[in-house]
Order: sequence, then C-alpha cells, then structure tokens
Amino acid sequence: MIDEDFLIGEALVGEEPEIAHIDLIIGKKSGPVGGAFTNTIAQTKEGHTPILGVIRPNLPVKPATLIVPKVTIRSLEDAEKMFGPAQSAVSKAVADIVEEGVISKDSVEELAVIVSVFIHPRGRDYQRIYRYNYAATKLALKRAMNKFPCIDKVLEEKDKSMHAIIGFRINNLKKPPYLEVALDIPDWRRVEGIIRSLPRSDTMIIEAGTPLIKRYGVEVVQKIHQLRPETVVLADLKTLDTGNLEARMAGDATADVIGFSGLAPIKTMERFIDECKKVGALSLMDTINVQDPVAVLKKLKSKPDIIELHRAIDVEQTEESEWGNIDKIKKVCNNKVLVAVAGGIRVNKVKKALKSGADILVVGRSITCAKDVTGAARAFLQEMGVEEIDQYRVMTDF
Amino acid sequence: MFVEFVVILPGKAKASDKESVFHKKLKLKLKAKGKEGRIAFLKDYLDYTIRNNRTLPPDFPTFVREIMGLDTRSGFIHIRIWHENSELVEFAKERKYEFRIDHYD
Repeated sequence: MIDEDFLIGEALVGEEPEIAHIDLIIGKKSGPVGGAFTNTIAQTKEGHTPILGVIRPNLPVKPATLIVPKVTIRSLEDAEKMFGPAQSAVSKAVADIVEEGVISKDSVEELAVIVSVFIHPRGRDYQRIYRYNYAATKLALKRAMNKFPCIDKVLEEKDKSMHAIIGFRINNLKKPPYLEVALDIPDWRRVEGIIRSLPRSDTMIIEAGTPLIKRYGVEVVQKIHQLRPETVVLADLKTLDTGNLEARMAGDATADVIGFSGLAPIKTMERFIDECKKVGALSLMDTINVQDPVAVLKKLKSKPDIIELHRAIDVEQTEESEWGNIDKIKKVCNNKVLVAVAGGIRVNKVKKALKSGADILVVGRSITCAKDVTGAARAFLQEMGVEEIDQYRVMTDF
Repeated sequence: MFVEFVVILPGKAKASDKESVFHKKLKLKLKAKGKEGRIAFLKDYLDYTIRNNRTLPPDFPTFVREIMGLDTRSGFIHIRIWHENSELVEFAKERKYEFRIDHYD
C-alpha cells in the first residue's frame, strides 16, 4: 500500500482561535514511523504527552495512531481539549479514511500514523475544535496518500502564495513587466513622502538609488521595507569591488534586488552574484558606461538576474532600440534574465519600451518630481496594463 | 503662495485630501522650554520608534542637529516634512503633542 518508508501530510482548516493545523506521517510499523511511534510513546515530554487515538475509551483506532500536542499543555483545561474533542476528531478521521478506501483495510495492521495537533490555548468551542481537527486530519491523510503536492504545484505556488503569518508575499519578479521607481533624492523625509504617495502594486519596485544609500547607508532599505513590506526594494549599490561583502550588507538590510556595476572586475561580479543567491536576493548588473554588455555577460560564469540598460542617446543602428539590443542580451543569458531600461522613460514611451523587450521600466523624476506623485505612477501602471499577482484567482484549493 | 490650511489640536490630526509631495511645515509645540525641551523631544521620538519596533529614521543624526538648531516661534518649532502622514506626524499624534501642519502650494 505504501512503497516509501513513510508519507507526509499537512492541512490547515477552520477559523481562529480554534483553527486546526495538522502535520502527520504515515508509514509501516516495521520502518522509521514504527520506530518513532514506539520512541514517542515511551519517552514522554512534559506538556507534550502523546496519546493513542481512540474511537471511544477502550477502542483504539486502526491504523494505530499517536497524537502529539504541538502546543505545550499547561493546564487541565488545555489537556481536556486535546484528550477530548481533538483525540476523538483525529481518531474518527482515521477510521473514516479507511472506510472510504483511501487506506485499504488489509494494510491497517502494518501501518502507524503520528499526528501532530495544534490547539490554540484560546480555543474554547468543542464543536469547532472537533470539526476542524476532523477535517484537517482527513485532508492531511488524503494528501499524504496522494503525495500531495506534486513538485510542479510547489514551483508554481512559491512565487504566487502569501504566508498567512508574515502577511506579505516575497515577490521574485517572475511576471514582468514591472515599474521601478528610482529614488535618487538624498533627503529621507522627502523620500518618505514619495513612498507614502506611491500606489500599492505588486508590479512596482522601489529603488533605493545610489545617492540615497550613500547618504544614509544601506539601512535605508530596511526603512523603506517598514513603509512598504510587500514591495520589492532594490539597493542600487553600483559595486565595483568587494562584491560578496557589499551584496551581503544589502542582503542583511533586507534588499530584494542588489545592483552592481558592469564595470567591476569579473571576479567581483561573480562573487556578488553568488552572494546574492546565498542571501535570497536577485542581482542586477548596471551597464552605465559599459561599452559592450554582451561581451561582459559572456565572460560571467553565473549570470545576473537583471540587466539594467541606459538610454544611448547617439544610437543610430536601426536594429537596436534606444536602450540597446535587448534580444541579444537575453539570448546570451539563455532567456533567464530580466532587462530593465532606464533613461527618458515617459508615459508615451512605455509601449515602445515594452515592445523592444524591456521587462522593467525604470522611472525617476517623471514620478518622484511630479506634482501628483500618485497620479503619475498610476499613469505608468495603467499604460503598462499590468495586473496584481493572483488578482483574479478564487482560492478553492483547500 | 503660502496657505495655512489646517489647525490641529493634540490627538485630533486629520490628513489633508491632498497627497501631493510638496514640502510642508510641521509646527510642533515642545513640552518643555529650551535645550532640555528639545532633548526631551528627541528622547521621546527615539522611545516612540523603539517601542513601536520601527527602524530608526535614516536621517536621525541630521534630524538631531536640525532640532537642536531650530528657532522657537511662540513655543513651536517648525520641522520640514513632505507628507501629512509622515512618521513624525504619527509620532506627534500618538505622543499627544500640540501641532499643526502648514501646506505650501
């Protein structure tokens, strides 16, 4: 029935404070689950006493089920919730799963289940504790037996989902285009005013410009995140030396994207990019004054996540956009790179920039120096025709 | 042109409908006079940011110099701000300072 050593299931059901969160493992008694089962029941820990799942006193459920409290039990009241409605709910769910054929009757003597149960100390309603824990256990068991989720689901959801506790989504820029608002003004109170006036959007990146960082230090990134926790913040360091050190400093200050100069030595750039990967940030190569960005990219063993191109005023070649040959840059990075274009981006140039292959439009004074910052930013977003992450998805995936 | 658009008493602050990013003046009455009053104000601001688990304003060193150097006009100091809901205004509301915001068009 179960080919692997064990299977894992998880489910969250209900509303606070009785919300149920179940983590469980199911596997053969002769394998690691059996070992964990016997160890847990033989070595109890204060406040986390395991109990067998029973349908009623003197009638244990099959497969043998061990219930382990996640939250330390500190009072008899807490103990009653665990040994009453929760124990009953988990046991009933296990039995029902067998009745429904998800676990075959023939295999129940071979299997064991360990269920970790969460009950909030403020949960009072026994009806809700029972029903939520029943549903969560059943769902977690079904998920375990079906090996839910498949890896494709995980890879898709990791960039879309928002964790309930942290309250914001880590956006790693998988769905361009984006609008990058460059804050180059070295005056914090003015910058604060601009940030507070910017509309909230998943498609916006806030750039802590080099002058801002030079004046206040890279900690300014953290202050921006305090005002906009959900927004991607770019630290435009334009690093030329000590690549890993500077990338780590910006990563520690919570930067989502960290920029270095394409004029830096190759070793510096590679160390910078590798450090960004370590701290979970995206790396950006700024190409100011870089004569041939493609040649530089070809030399790099690991490529940056974003290339920022600046308007070349004197460009005459017809095959290139005014920001350079974006297609060629993407090709050399195996199309695994975003291209940001900066310089002279106005609302009436948005379509042209996007058509030329740009993924990120870098806008500075058109927004930050506008009399109506909110309106100016909205005009860009509207022209870009972007939508929020998951704006139209109805969550039915419980 | 200068327009004094709203007068706010302690704890009664109300944001303007205008969200424009023009510089404004936060006219704030210190709770004590002289140098000691300014130091108490700065300590209070620091206390507010720490207790609310906020990152210190990046311009805090500049802000300290600014506060210590500002003239007092009828008991008020005039602090430059750029938004009616700036952290300084939130602070003034929470810590019940008497203040008003002057807006420039």
